Amino acid sequence: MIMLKNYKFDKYKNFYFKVDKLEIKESERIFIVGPSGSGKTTLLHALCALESKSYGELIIDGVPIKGFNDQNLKKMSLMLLTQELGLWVHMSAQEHISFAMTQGRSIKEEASSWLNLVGLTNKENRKPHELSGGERQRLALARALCTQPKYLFLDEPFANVDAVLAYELMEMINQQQKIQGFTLIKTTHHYLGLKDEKIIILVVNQGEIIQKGTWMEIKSSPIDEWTKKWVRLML
Amino acid sequence: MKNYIILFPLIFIFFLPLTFVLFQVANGLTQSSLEYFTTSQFSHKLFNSIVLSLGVSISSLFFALISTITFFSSPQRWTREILSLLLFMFFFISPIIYLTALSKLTWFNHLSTYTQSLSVLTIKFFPLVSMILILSLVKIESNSIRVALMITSSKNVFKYIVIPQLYKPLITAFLIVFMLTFIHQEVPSFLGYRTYAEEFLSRIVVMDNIGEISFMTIPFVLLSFLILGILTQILNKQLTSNSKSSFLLFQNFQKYTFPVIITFSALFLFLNALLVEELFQINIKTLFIDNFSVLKNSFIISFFTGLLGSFFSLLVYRFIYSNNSKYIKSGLILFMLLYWLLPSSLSSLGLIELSIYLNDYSKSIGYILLIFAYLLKIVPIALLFLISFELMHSPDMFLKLQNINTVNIFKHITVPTSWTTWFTLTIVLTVFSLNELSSTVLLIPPGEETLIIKIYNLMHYGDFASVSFLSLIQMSLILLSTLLIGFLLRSKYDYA
Repeated sequence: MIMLKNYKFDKYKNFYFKVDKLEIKESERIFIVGPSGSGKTTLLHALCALESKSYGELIIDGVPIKGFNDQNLKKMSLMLLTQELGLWVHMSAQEHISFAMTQGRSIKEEASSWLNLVGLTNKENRKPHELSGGERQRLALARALCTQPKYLFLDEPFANVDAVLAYELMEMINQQQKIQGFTLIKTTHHYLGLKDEKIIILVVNQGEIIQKGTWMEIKSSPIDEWTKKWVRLML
Repeated sequence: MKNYIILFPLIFIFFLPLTFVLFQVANGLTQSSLEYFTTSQFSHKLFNSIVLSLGVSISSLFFALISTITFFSSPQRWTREILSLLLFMFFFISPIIYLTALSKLTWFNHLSTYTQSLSVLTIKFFPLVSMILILSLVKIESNSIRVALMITSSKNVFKYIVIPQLYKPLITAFLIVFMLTFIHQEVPSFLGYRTYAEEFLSRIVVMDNIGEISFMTIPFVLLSFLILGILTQILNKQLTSNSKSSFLLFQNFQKYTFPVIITFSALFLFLNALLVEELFQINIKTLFIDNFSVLKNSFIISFFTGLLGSFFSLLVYRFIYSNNSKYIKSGLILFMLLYWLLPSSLSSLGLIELSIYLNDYSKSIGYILLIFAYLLKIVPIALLFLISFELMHSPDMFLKLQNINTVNIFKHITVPTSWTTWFTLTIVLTVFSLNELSSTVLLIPPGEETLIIKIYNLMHYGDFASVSFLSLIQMSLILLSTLLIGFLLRSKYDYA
């Protein structure tokens, strides 16, 4: 379980991100939505200890986490997938998977099976610049999934890809969640899967979580103007 | 097309001095002219040059690693800014001024000339290596570090993710410092450490046989071509970048930030204090009046050179970035860098040959050649500065689509977006021109003086009071310039 308590982060001048209390239980699926600049990424970063200049408590699996370099954090099996992907430019696709799984040792067969899973068959030896945009997305996803994380954080990773590919990749994540059972926390502008009743939506606006609930709950009583417009658009 | 019309003749003129030297070499190439390269005198000096260059490269890398780690582990922006200021100051100040200060220390004078040269040149060059490393680390995408840190320890991330991406900049920095030390003439010359570059300079000063001196340029030209060839391989992929860095990786070193910054600050203040000490024994007002014309002269020449240099380098930079061919881009950059890796005295030799060819030794020709020599040295630095800091944004695509006329583009787009770049660059180049010694020694018209020449001459006479005064004035000018550059760059950059 991840818990954020009395959390405050000075993002810019006159812009604070605040959370009084937020609990995310194991294997939950959390989608963070909100207008641009509302603090979605800040909340996601807060939950994986990436915001260094913050105040408050972050507790993961009962252990207080002091910052991103806290040694306890390494044991928590966190993984992040972002729009920028963060691929390692000097490594081949296979080396990405090998490093993610073993931190150096080469594991060709296992690496190939993960690459096959995301549709990168026969692309094992290619480096990121030798892959297309969609293939790079697939590689980043394979790297994230092969670590078998306990908590997977997605920061609008599919914002720049076509709807069909975004759907395919999201389906892969859903399947892997059923197999691996990880907690999924995602910021999104896409509508994919939002209406699923198992998904908990956090609506963020002006540096605060203003509403929490399933699609049905939020649809029945949207809390502010932006949420009302958003619900109307989703219908 | 307009760019080509202005740029190509300028580039042709730019390479004229080197062409003159190489023509002289090719024209008189005989078996006997190459005999110098078989003498023990040559091998001894070449050995000294290589040993010093290796020593300075290794020690510069060592101190640069410390300052780079300190930069990235600094928790606050102001500590990074102080460190940047110190690095820029150490890089901008002429090593002759370090020598002035350090020569007052008895223990320093007891060191071997090799160790003295090594120390002074390390202070001069480690900031350059630091800047290369810092800029390279900044270009590693932050999410690639974040993801890796979620998987494994900082040590492993450093070993498997950072070092493989950093080894090219490390080799580049090593090669550049090696070459800059190899061609450095002033410090070994002053300290009496016999290097090949020092021998080359002293031969040009005596001017005993211009043909023989031209042959001495062969190792410089060959080595600079070799290093540029290696850099071509290394830098091909460095022309594009990702931006943003990871400060997360070095957070564990935070406890060393303040000790390192305090040590660097102390060294800087100590060097200044050694100079200030002398001022109590002299009449500052009289010295200032006596040296006013030299100061004015230096500043006008340097500022004028800075303006010309920034104009020319912005023209080249604009051409490089508007050209689609990777080979033309990297070829032009590397050719422009050539003069940076050649001794100033080599281009000055070409200019002396040019003046012999023109048969004109007037004062105005002397100044024109001097400014030309400064430009040859500072334009490559300007290009590196522009490329490293990615200082100019090209609005071309949008403007082409809108079909806006050139005057309006210049007035509403080019000036507002580029004036800080042009101004910053002019200041940087003015500072470099102020420090250029070898070309000034060789090309300044008889009876004329500049600040750096006066400092150099007074050091030989042992007039430390005047040297300290002039050095402090130069230091103050550089400090003011650096602060101004920092202020201008701050508006364009957010380190964090």
